[in-house]
Amino acid sequence: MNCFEPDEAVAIAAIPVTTVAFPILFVVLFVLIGLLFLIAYGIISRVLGLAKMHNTLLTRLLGMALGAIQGIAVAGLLLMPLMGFFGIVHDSVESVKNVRQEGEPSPRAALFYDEYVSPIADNPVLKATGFFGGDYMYKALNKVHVNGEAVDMREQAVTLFAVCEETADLQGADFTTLTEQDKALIVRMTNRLNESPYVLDIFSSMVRGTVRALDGGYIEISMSEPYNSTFHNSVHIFADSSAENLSEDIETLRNIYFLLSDDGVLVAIANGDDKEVTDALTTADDSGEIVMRRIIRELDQNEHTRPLVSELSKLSVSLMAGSFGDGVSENVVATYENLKTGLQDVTALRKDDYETDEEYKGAVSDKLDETLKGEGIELEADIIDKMADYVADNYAGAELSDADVDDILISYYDAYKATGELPPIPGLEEAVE
Amino acid sequence: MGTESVTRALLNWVPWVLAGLVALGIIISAFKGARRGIFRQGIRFVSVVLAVVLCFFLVRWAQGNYPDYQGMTMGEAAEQARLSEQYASL
Repeated sequence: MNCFEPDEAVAIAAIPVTTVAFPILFVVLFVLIGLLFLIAYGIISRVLGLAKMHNTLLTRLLGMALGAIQGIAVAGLLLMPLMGFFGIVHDSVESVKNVRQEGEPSPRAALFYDEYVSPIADNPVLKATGFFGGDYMYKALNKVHVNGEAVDMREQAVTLFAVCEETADLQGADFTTLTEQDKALIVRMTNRLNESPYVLDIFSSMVRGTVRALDGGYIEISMSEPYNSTFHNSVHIFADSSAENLSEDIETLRNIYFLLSDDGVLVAIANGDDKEVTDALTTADDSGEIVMRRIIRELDQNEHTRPLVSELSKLSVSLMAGSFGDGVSENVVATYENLKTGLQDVTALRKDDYETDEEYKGAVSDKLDETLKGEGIELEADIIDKMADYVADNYAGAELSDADVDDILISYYDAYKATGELPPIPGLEEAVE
Repeated sequence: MGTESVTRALLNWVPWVLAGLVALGIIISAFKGARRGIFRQGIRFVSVVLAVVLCFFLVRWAQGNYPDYQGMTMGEAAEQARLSEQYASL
């Protein structure tokens, strides 16, 4: 708990406290204070001599009408917390139902609601309670001031409930190969978070707190490699998550997740075959852009997630070194750091020192091969040549920044794609001729 | 009869039981109102309204002052958050 900020705890607690605890507190107080007032009423009516007062038919009829109104009001107040809570559940289910496209199955939460909750939530007594002022009172009790703004906690609770209800529909989904329906659900869930700045603020606080808790060793999240090391190395960028940047981060990560799922990368990783992973990461779309480049583009578009490109580079180093299944180990990190300096020697080769472009590219290829081999990475000659071409074309004589090093390492996938997908078929050209 | 059908049958009875209790409450209140007459019932009604108003403001006050896990009130926590933000921006 030490990892969480004070305002975070208040924010997280505010929704259930305001929507459930305070209306109940109101009813408890009303019963207690009502009893005190009943005693006071007894004393007052004795003092004023009202107890001995003779009633006519008219005063009795009017008293009966007022008594009935009082009965309705008291019943409404006593049922208010129940009405409010079921109202939230009802609205969240309706909201989940409303966003469903035609042909999509009904949400599980809606089926459960119709079967078990609806008889209570939609019964006329609770509806009438709302009509006779319970609704107004509940809404008034649910308005709180957060950072100077009046926030309706009921609306936030509806959003949170709707997110939870949609999660239920993901039950049984294959998270390595998402269907269009699963993706539509995930998009809707994440979009819902953006609907409410307050809920987004809570989530960003939770993300910050979780990163701090992970760093402090208060909690441990462990998964299989290569996810584990990549997750632990990447999670730090979310230490400064806020309602302002979390929305964009969620969208970036969601898009990347969809890319990995659509192009079979997650299945390949699950199968533990490095070749299959590389093949999947180099699957091209209609425009010929490979998955890896699309991922980098997604990360680059968001300033906050841009540092993750270097994590991908490290992962690429582990793939090139044939240890992808072990993830980003200490050795991989050391290799990556060494490559940062090693690649400077490659780009330091001067083009002017060579008579032809081919000679220069040949030298770059040799130096690159030597640098990679020095770090225990042995790639096919064709791939080395393609990467060398990329370096020669884009970084000749350049002082490499960290981003440039990442770009060169990731050019491995383009080289793999260029050489791996269309292998030369011996004798084919002659046969065509 | 399975557990599920028993649950469903009970759930179907809940609205009726609730409606019955509420109707009974209203009838009793109306009957008492007739016995008291408009003047005594009027004072009783005023006391109920006062109780509602008092409770409402007590709860509204508590909403702005309920303590979190560190023993701070919502207002104090908001002030601390504002100060940390100010500090972070320096």
